[in-house]
Amino acid sequence: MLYNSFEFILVFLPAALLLYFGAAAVSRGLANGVLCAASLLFYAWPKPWGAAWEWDWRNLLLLLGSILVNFVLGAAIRRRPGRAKAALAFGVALNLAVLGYYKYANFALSNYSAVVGRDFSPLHIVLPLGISFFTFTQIAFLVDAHNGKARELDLTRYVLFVTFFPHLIAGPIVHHGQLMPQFSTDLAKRWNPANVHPGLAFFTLGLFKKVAIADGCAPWATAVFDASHAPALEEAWRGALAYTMQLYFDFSGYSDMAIGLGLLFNVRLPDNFDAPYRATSVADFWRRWHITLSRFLRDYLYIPLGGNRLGGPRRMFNLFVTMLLGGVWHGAGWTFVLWGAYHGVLLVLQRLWGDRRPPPLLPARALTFLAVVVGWVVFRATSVERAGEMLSGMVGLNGLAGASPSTSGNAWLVLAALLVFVNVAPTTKQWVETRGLNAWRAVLLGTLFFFCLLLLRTNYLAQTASPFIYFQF
Amino acid sequence: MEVAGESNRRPLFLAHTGRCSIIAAMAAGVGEIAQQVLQSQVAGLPHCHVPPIRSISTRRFGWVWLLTPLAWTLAWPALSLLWLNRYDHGESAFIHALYERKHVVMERKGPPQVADGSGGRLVVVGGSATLTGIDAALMEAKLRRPTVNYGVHAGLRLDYLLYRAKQELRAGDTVLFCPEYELWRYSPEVLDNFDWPYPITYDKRYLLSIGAGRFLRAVYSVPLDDYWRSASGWRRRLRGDHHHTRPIYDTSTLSPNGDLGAELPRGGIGRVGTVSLAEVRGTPSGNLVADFATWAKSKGIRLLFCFPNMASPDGPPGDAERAGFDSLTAFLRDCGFTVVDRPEDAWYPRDWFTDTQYHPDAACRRVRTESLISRLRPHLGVSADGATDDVLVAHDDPALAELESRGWRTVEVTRTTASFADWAKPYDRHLFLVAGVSEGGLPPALGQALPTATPVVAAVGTGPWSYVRTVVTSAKASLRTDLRSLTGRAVPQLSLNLRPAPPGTGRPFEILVNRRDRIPRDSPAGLAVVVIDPELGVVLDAASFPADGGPAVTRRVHRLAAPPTSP
Repeated sequence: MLYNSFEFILVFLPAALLLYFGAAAVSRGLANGVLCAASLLFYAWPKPWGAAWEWDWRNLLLLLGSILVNFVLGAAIRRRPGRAKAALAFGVALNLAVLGYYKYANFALSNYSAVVGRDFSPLHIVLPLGISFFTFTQIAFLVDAHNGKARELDLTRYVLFVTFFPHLIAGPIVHHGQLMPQFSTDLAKRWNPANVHPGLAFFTLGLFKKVAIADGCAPWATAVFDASHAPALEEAWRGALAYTMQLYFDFSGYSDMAIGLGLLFNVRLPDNFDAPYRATSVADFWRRWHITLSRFLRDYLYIPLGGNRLGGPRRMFNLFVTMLLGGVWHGAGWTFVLWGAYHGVLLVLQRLWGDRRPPPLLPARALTFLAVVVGWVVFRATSVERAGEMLSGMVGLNGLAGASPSTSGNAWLVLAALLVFVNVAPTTKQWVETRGLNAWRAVLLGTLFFFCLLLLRTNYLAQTASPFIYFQF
Repeated sequence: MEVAGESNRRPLFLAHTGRCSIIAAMAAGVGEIAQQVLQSQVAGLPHCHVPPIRSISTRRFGWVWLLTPLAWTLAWPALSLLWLNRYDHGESAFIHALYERKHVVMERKGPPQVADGSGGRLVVVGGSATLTGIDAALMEAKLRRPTVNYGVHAGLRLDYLLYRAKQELRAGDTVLFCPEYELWRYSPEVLDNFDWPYPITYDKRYLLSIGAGRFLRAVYSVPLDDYWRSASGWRRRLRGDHHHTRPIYDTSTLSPNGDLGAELPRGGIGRVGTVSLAEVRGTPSGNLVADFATWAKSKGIRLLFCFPNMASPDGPPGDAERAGFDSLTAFLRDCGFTVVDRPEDAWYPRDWFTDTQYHPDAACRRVRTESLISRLRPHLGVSADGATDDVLVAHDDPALAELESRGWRTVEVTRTTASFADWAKPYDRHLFLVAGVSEGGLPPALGQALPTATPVVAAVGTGPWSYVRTVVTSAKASLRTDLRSLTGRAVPQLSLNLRPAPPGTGRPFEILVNRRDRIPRDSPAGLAVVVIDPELGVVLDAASFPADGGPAVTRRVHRLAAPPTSP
């Protein structure tokens, strides 16, 4: 199920809230059970853009199997310290193997067939929704269990920790220690306006970002990235900036909605997004973009590789490899490999630059933004060749102005406005925390919410509605 | 800062922090992470604590947030109904112009003379295939009963076409129903971009008549762009420009029987796929037609059906297509329709069609109408009076040249010559647009208004329009106006422009109605006249006369013979 769908907003969410707080009046365990069931239903719900209206039982079984195996391994790690290391290694390997099979098997096969010059028919694998997220969440759990930080072993709450629907499909990647205490407290089972009100604000603003802005930019980006011709300068920049804004508002919108949904259930999910286009360096960018993934990569990849403890060259290598694998995590394709490597190189260069005098704020921001936009072009391109065409277009190698549709003027106006917005407007969190949520703001947000529903309806009819970009990862 | 602290010697997976950020590890070093952990512990926060959202909200916030969208939801249909319009939409302007004219045509063709339907109006109902493919004037002449072409636009869909037809039909009428094939795929679910703009702009009552559920579905399907666009529609409306929205086809060429005479652009219609019809019985479209038939029978209206004229599909109908046609025919007969032809009877060569596969050129229209007339005669009890189907008679018609190029032989059999005064006599409730120089011989109604021996452009009315008298005299005279301004009444709109002709045309003036010059070519350089029916908003006739108003050829009649059939 998608947050930006009618069945979620008008049926699932109100019903889940009603049942959850109804059950909480009876017992805490029942409330957790209801939330588990709701989360599993949310996961199993058929994709609205799929041709068939079928329940996705196989993916649900995979999720449940993964949860069960990891829970048992976690328990084994906790209860048998002598075999903890072996169990941890086995668990991490098993999780990575499952992720590798579903996500990378066909990519590996196609590359192998290209190398050996033989055709292999691709495996019929459908990527289970959210597999990257629930796999990483559970790897973190196993490590935390090994380190004694995941002490609580209650199956219902563990299932809830992994499947809690606001973070299940596209993050944020959560730690056992972040959520389990919140599921255990009785306070979380009461209807609490102090959480619900900001939750509504977060959810509404996130929905608006996704439906009105990200989906509005999407056609401009698609028109350029998916075109059959090499784009000229103006066209290439229009497409690149449109995707830059689309991705920003898509992911920012998703993150806001996830936090808002969590708050409705009195669960505070970690921040995942902090005005990344205001970053003054690439490292600063990664401090602000997909914060929980950055943290995971640092804690479970960069530091285990040696971090900065093994000398300068090794540190550069670790940085590069971490970002490279971070790129691969996003998807099985050479564009993601390139994108990860690109950011790895940028971080290495930044480290080499070291403590020399940093550039002034505005040029630093502009340079960082430019570097990020170039990265997004590779990230979005359908192939490495297409990425090359786009980048050639952006430096003017394909001419200055191509066959622009009549809407390009509007596109530039909107993109310029959005660029200003992402640089000066308060983040959702700042807005919610610094403005009092009074009746007038409720009218404003309620109105936004209504217009988002209208947009959802018309986008659905026009078949231009789209899932969140990060759902595919 | 390079660190050799304790945290670096611990198992590497342990490096959790309260304020987790990759840069702390990547750019600054693990030591800072250790420091942050310490800070978190000092602050008494649990491991990886997530800081709360610190917001201040009033108690009413939640209720107001919930009630606001509910209030919008309730108010939105009314707001939409009041606000939405497409006054800038050429297709809607065209449909509006057609319906207001066709209403006049239906009224003029009068009440039925005989209640059993034998002498009432013959009303051809359909979409633009009917509008452009049926010559109701010819049918009226040959079938000897008042005939109205009530074809409009298939984009309005079956529901609306029948809804409007019901408002015009009366007991004793005969309906010849001729829908395009696509109309059988009608779905009442939503109004789409095609059939929404006209009713929301010009016929809001219809939207209130379609039932609350359907209306609400329609309202909640309107793209938000349309609300923005409506602002420009209102600007047009407030400035009065909405009457000048250019329709897609020129409705001033409508005949007094409702036939569209405009020359349509030839756009290349491409491939025409086979026509496959699914079973319509029990479908929304089938139910609509069945309900219409029941209604018509209760009103004493006779029902005929013909298949629409269209460009021949790429292949002949197969068994499946044939079964679809047979099924439709059986369904229509069960509903009480008399089906007068088969689909193939109305299929013509592709190059006889213009911008769509349903829009024939003038030549095809004539052939199609003649064929239809011969099929209708037995059902209407009209004898052929010796006419044979392979000898067709056409009046002045741009189709003649095209027919000749396709092997038809045309022979001029009669020509009508008349003086200006005689020619103008029947037009006693009309508006004359006159341009040129007169030296006398004018009809009495014009003689009082127009000066002689001086270049003049003028608009002069007769009968109830005789108060219209706008005369401009000079060699460079011009008159730019519109029909509503000229008459001061809410008649169908036409733009009128009488102005000096460009050099090299051999004529002193041109008379443009809806931006098209209406003076016949090769006309004498005396006085050019265009006759307008103001109530109907159409150009009825045009001719040029010598300056003294003397005789000129005003009409030619040709005999047309079909090409020999291939063995």
